[in-house]
Amino acid sequence: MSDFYAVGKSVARVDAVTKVTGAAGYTADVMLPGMLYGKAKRSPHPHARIARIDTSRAEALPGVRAVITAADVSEVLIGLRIRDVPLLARREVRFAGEKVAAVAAVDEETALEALDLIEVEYQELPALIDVKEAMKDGALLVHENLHTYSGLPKPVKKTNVFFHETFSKGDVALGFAQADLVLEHAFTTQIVHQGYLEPHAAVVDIGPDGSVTVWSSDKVPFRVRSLMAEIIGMPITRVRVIPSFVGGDFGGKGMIFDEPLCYYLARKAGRPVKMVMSRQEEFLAASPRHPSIIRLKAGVTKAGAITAWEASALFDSGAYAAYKPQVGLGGTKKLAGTYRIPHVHIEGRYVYTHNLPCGHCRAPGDPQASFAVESFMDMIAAKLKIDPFRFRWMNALEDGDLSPTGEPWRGINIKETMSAAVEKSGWGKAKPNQHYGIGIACAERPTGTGESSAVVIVNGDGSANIISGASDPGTGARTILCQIVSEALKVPMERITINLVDTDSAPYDQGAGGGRTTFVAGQSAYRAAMEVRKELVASAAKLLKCAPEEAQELIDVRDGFLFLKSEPAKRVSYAQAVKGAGKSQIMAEETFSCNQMEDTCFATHIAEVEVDPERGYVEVKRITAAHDIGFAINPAAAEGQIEGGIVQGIGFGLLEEMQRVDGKVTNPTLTDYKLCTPREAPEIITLLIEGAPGAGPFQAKSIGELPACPIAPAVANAIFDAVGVRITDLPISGEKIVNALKESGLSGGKAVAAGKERADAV
Amino acid sequence: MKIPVTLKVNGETYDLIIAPYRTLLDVLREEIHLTGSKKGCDAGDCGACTVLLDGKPVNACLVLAATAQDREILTIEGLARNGKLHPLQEAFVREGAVQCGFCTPGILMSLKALLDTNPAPTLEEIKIAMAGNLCRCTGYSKMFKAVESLDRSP
Ligand code: FES
Ligand code: FES
Repeated sequence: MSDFYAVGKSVARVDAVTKVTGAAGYTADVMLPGMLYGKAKRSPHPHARIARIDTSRAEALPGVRAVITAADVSEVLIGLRIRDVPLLARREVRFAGEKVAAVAAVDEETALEALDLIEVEYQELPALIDVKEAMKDGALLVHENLHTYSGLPKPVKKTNVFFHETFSKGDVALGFAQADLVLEHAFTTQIVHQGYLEPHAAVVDIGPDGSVTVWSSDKVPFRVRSLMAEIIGMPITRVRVIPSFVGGDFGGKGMIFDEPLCYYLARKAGRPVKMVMSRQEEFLAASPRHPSIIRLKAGVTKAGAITAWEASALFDSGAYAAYKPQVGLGGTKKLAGTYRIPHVHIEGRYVYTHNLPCGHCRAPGDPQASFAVESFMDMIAAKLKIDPFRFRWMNALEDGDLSPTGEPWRGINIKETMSAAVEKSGWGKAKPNQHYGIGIACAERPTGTGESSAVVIVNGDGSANIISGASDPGTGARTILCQIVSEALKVPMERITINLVDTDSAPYDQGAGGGRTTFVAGQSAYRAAMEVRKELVASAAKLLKCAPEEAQELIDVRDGFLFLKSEPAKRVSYAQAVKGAGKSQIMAEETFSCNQMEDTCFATHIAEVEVDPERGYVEVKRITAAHDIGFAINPAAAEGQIEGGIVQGIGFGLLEEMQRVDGKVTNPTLTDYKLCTPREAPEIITLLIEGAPGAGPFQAKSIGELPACPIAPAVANAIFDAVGVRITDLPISGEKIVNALKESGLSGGKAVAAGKERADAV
Repeated sequence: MKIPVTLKVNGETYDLIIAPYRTLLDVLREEIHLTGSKKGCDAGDCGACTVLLDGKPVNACLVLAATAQDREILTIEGLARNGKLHPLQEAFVREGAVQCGFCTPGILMSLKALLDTNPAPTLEEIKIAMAGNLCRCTGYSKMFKAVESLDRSP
């Protein structure tokens, strides 16, 4: 493995210098001559009828160039799959924060002033903000015309449950009958924001011929193009999307937000328009992680075998389902974990309410499922008086097993990740102090599928270009593509260029998301590079006097040169080979598409914490994270994904929550909504477990999403180990710990003693 | 009403006519077109807008541009000198401390201020210097490592 040329190495990112010098252009940095600033007027009510909108005073304000309402925009409903969201609310608003009008003005201050001058008369209506209420028969309907919407996976009518999915294996009734013990518990998780640091931004410029240019912080430029073309009613060739650097995504940058409004404002004003969401708007009306209510029921034998498992999840989707490309969340399928269970039944329900719409957030649904399943595993283990590691180990899947929902998986190596994490952490060792606790959790998440094309060019001087529409919202994807092409062509990294290219210039790419980029875009780039290499070899064969039919076999490449393996000293440069082919460049394009796969990735996290039983303060001291990655093309980038996911997951577990009262978010600032700061960042030991077969180039698997999954339950289990209370409602705030300690009569020293006792018992 | 303000940014002088309520961040970005300082919250919470004012890190979104008159302003665009990256920038590139890059300018400015007064900070001191800066991508680990990798001989 060590003789790789460019992969398997922690090379510096291709865009790092651009970023550390402040030169990297993000969408909000786009400044065009004559550009106006747009702002949206939002509903303060979760549910209301719009009786009247009067924009005349706003229009009269000096500096205002355009004001629009629903009457000015297309009536299409848009969405990534289910199309249910209007461009501006028409007649009815369905959540507090929904856009009802927009203005464009010469500067932001004027635009904001104009918003206050728009008069909207609302007739407030009762709002459904409780997901369980919304599911009841006869409940008020959030979408009366649901059955007319496109994109519904199954026809549904007169309900708020727009999607109900089930996964079954075996016969759970039989499985429960075989159990010595049946346990049941409910878990709840809160709504959290992706927390990308760059707020959504969009700029639209309309050319004199009506063609549209869009700059967008969206991570999927090709989808921006198709959605915009559809809204405007133009062929997609008339819309060009110019990608900028994207300041973080975590699933939140896959849907268009203000792009259509910029278009209509620009059309009305005859000038380009920029809109940037404020941090407050981000909290009120982006597409955060779904809150969930999860019920789990397990049947086990006294010896610790799991005989049956039943799970159900309710996801409050908020007012619109438009922000989910798959309708459901992948996490539902994970509700039986990574264990060998003969009888499984899982249900997931996705429900409309008048809360803010939720969308995709790093491993959609998985951290919720993982929190429930992995907390529950510890609860069962405690009941059976089996060590939590041993209980998992006894039941963990092994290679050759089907998944808990009955699908084939290849290369299952959950146990390798478990052993690696245990070995490098404090598991099984003496507790360093009385407030210390340790917890373990496992998780799984598949490599994403999709479609991507890439063009690889070797130029007349032997340097290479990659033209790819793959986006890199900070994951390092573009660096990894360069490493892959560098490896295939044996051209040094510094002679390979990959630029951000617009949708007119790059071939189609489905966009980052679901952990697909290394696999899908990587395969297309690798294959294109190998095609170019073949042509270079064929050309060099003439110069090296090698028979053409043997050339691919006998000729090798290194550092931009071709040579006969038997005679490595006699070399032909790529420049000569290009010339020899009678061309100025040699180019190949490859499309790679994959919709189904048996590859998945595993991880084990071990959290070590200290809990102050008086205040409930939890300090995460150390996380040991072992990840099955197949092959790490760029180990530092992979570690970076894991470290970032862990700190994000700690926020999910302990700190973050978008609090809501009557359907309105009450903490829409980063002062009141806490992200982990450097001070909460623990020591992180990342262990990259290579060797399992991956579908990506060089057997790589994906890494973007999984790190955020097992962390919260690992921390929850560590807290239980430290002070003996089990919190099943996220986030695990200090207050919840203190209250739980009081209720269980375990406060202070007693908690510590109880923790010790448990430790001794194991 | 607009007022004349003279700003000294990265050693250059800019004579501007601006509204008195405009923040230093907006003026840097929109009047001087130095867009390296980022707006993540506009409220002093994220640190993406951090610049040095007379050598001290401030959130440019909380400073009125007019109050920065005649003071030395250093932004991320002024950190590299004569085409040579600052050792901190080099360390961030080398250690893989940059992901999406949106927090990076602000964090580098906070750390530059730290190193100017304390060339050999402990991990705890690094964390305190960065405490006003959020990063959602990296988990901070590689940033700590980047600072710790610098030559800390006095
Ligand atoms: S933009 Fe200034 S602190 Fe966030
Ligand atoms: S690198 Fe993305 S926020 Fe820090």
